[in-house]
Amino acid sequence: MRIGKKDLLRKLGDFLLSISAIVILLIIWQIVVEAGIISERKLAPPTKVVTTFIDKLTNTNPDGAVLMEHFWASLKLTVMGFVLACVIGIPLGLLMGYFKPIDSFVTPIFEIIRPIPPIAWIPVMLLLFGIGNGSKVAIIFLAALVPALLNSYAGVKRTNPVLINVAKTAGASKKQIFLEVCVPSAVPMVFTGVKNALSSAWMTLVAAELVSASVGLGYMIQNGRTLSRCDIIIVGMLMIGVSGAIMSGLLSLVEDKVAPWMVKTR
Amino acid sequence: MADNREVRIKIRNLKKSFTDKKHNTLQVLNGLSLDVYTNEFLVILGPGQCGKTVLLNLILGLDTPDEGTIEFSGGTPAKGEVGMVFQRYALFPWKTVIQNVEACPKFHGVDKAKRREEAKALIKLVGLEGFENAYPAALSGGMKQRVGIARAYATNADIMLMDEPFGALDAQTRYQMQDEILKIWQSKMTTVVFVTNNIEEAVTLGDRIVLLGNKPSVVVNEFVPNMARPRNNLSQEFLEFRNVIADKMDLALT
Repeated sequence: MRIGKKDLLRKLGDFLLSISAIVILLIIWQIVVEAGIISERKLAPPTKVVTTFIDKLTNTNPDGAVLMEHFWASLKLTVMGFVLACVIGIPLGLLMGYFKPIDSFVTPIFEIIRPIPPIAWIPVMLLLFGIGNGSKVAIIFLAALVPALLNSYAGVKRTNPVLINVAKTAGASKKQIFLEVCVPSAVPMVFTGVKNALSSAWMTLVAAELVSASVGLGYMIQNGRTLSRCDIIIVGMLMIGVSGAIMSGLLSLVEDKVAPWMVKTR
Repeated sequence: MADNREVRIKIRNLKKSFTDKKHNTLQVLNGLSLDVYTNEFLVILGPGQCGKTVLLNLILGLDTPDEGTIEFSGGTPAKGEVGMVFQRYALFPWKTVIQNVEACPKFHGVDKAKRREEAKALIKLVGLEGFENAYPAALSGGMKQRVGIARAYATNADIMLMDEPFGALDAQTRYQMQDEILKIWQSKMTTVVFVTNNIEEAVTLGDRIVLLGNKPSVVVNEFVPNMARPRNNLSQEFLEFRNVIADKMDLALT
């Protein structure tokens, strides 16, 4: 497709608009603190957040680790729980969507587990796996499993029945219908599920680390609260926000590769 | 004239009803009998919701009748020996044009080189050369249905069922596609059962037109437009024929 001058200008306009939203937010934030509307001890201004961020890259105070150590510790847990949830949840959801016996077998257990908030698992997991990484990965896994499984399931269930008929009239086997009709048609829904699973994973990570950890972004935030270091709290929050956004962006790139047929609704 | 022709599909006393969640029974087909002759272009004309799609599904073997029989000369065809063109194209959105066309042979495990070659020939036949690698989302309605037709013919079926294939197209494209489908039918020598609710389309296309009544459906009338093709839809003969059917159709609805 040819990109015209007009398109380019419009894209540039959109980009400037997005940037200006962030800039305006930062300015208001700075003014609110500078003017003393909110005390600097309760809300660190953006300038302070930036200096703390740079400082935390090399300074292990006050929580015993530099920022990147916290970040890697958290990233590892999140990715482990998230990947595990996808590896188990997606195939299970797809199979449940197509094969009735699997659906009947898994659904009752799943329906009971589903409404339990991931955070409510923390006490059980601590007892089961101790206060180490195992319990945190398990909690993140449970949190990410629900959206990954549910969306894959719904994706197969929503396969256009006429497409299944097309395959049936062509003499396709049940296995072919599942693999060549239902699974591809579920792909967009699966990606929605994976993205939701990722954000659930990050959300739950912080909760898990708030309870028991000696390193990690959640721990850093919790420690910052105890010491009334609002600048550190904000740095930790922004790290989570930014890395979540980056991972979600990467997933969108993968989606474009895997599902190039989808019409962009941009 | 029709009597000395070979019957390809013999449908006798077909009954089919559906029961909804509230246990209301809806009789859709009520003792429908019909012969389809080899290599004819049969149009089944009927008002909306008269069970035309149900009839096609029964012929396809996607559903079983409550009562009655469907017999094919030469035994019940195996899956894939009856082709179907669907109302709303029903293309696989994740497959390109050529992948859609070769989808059915692929289910049968036909060798890739062979099915590719056949798919290319069919794409040429329906006039979609150059669009082999486009996804359906990028095609217009008329082009999508060309893919649908090519895909149906890729099964090498000698019976082709078409369920209001041009119903979603604008008038201009519809006329164009009617010409195309006649050309393809003549070049491929297949038995076509074409369902429509459009009288003009029926008169343009059919060797024979069977009029179905409203639910529960039975054959109400049969018409044979003895007009040479291509038929001019503004000619006196065409318009008169059209009016005759329109009158009968009004009766069928009341």
